Amino acid sequence: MSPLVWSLLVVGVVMLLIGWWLSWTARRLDRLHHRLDLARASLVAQLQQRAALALEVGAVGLLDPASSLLLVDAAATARQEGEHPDRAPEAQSHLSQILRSVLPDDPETAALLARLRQDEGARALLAELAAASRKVELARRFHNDQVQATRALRSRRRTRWFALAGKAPEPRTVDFDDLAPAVFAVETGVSARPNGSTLDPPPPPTPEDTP
Amino acid sequence: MRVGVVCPYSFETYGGVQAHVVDLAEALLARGHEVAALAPANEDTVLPPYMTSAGGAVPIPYNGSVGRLAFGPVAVARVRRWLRDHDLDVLHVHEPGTPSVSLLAVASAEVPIVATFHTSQTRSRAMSAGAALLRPFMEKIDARIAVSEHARATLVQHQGGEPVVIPNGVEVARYAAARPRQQWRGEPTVVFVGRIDEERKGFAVLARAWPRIRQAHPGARLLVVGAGDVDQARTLLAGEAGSATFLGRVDDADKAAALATGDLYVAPNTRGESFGIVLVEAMAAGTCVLASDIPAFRSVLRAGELGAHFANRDADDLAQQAIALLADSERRAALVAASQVAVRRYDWSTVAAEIVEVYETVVRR
Repeated sequence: MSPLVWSLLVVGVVMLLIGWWLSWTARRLDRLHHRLDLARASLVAQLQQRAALALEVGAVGLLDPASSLLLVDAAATARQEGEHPDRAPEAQSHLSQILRSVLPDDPETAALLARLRQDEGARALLAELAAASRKVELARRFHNDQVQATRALRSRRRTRWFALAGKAPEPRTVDFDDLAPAVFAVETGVSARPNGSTLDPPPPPTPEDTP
Repeated sequence: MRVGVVCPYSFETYGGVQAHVVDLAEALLARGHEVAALAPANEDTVLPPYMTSAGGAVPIPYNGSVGRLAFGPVAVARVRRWLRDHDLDVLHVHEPGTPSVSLLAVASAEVPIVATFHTSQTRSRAMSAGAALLRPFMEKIDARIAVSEHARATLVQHQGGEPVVIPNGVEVARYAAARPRQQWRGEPTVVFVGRIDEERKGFAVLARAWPRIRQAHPGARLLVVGAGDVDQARTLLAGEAGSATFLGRVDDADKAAALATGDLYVAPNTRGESFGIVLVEAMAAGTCVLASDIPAFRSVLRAGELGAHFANRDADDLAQQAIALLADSERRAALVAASQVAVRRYDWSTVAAEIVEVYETVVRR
């Protein structure tokens, strides 16, 4: 074969490789955007769940009337804005703060919760709200992880030069105060020592519990 | 929920990650979930009924230690078959950055993926060199868990983002129920747990301190739990070798009993610990802990609130602290009392519940 044919062949193979590499990157981006949608849907679902449960806890009168009113007010706003955590993060921060204010980390609150939990219905409701509050924290972090991974690939030169991201808008992290009340830490199953004496109440959260 | 758990290290040797995977699988089963596990293992290795072998493993030096890993076409085929056979709701891989079956499972899986990172290392050339190669696979992970603040910091440094911290679990009740064994008792008893010939477990530091501890407490007995070269360890102890009992590698029940027998558990590990599960086990067994001041241990002991520290690799400081603690039963009792409350955070009932909440956050309904 002549040198010309050779060089054409080489150029052809290189073009093919580059093409394959670009389409692979485009597939990765597509997958990232898809996962991002799922992560966002999960975040919205957890936020709506938390708002609905907070509303219920406020409405059924487990807490004193003033606390209930604060909670219902914050939960109602959070629920209205739940679909758009990026547009109205204050509503979610506000609900987190109100939850912490009406359920502070002190012995009185621990005693109140222990009393409330004697009722099976109240116990289940509080446990659901606690789980929802913790899951809001998880979902927000996982969402922001996806945003970061997506943005990293979007910012690569090949993505920008060849417009591989298409028309998908630049994703943004969702930032709000998602810290759950300390009294909402996971309840542990170890309740009694083998010699019969009961262990002390749950410890305050370790640094790992707070972001 | 149908959960698939993948361990990258082979079950011929039994390390922290393997123990974590088995405990996690059993905690999930106990909570009524369906569990399938996958790990490298030889044909003749006895595995729990829920675990599938991904084929034999090869010892490979990677990232500063030797891991028994599985890779290549056989492993790929087995991983794919395992994923096909179990219609998983969520895949939970451990150490997906290690070149073994966890990474292969991430590459092939089409279900939501949760990953737990156990390692914390400052020297990780391999992690940096492979970072570009790993990125497309790491992108597939929906939720990342680090086992300690230390492991989280390593992860953030290499990959960024906001991983959540969920510590390793301990079956607290099992350790709390352990009773001292009279035949192991000294006056007093000091316990060491770990491979005695692995430098980073720090047996040599303890051996250097031991003669001074014996001088102050002539009845002291050293209870050594862990595999390794006993003759070499006796040489390190020199004239005091007679005051040491070597139990070798023991099962969990014996380890718990050994910890419960101790008046003091010494953890002289010099480096490379990301969490320090044995510290939590000793605390659960009601034994006072004296540990080197490496970051992972300072974090578990809350910088001295739940146990004492000595300067890392400093045998003199170790001896001094140990002698003082052994002479002060009130201080030991106070540290143990504080630990008894703190260990509940590590009980599998708590840890498994937190992990399940991570699953529930990423599972698509």
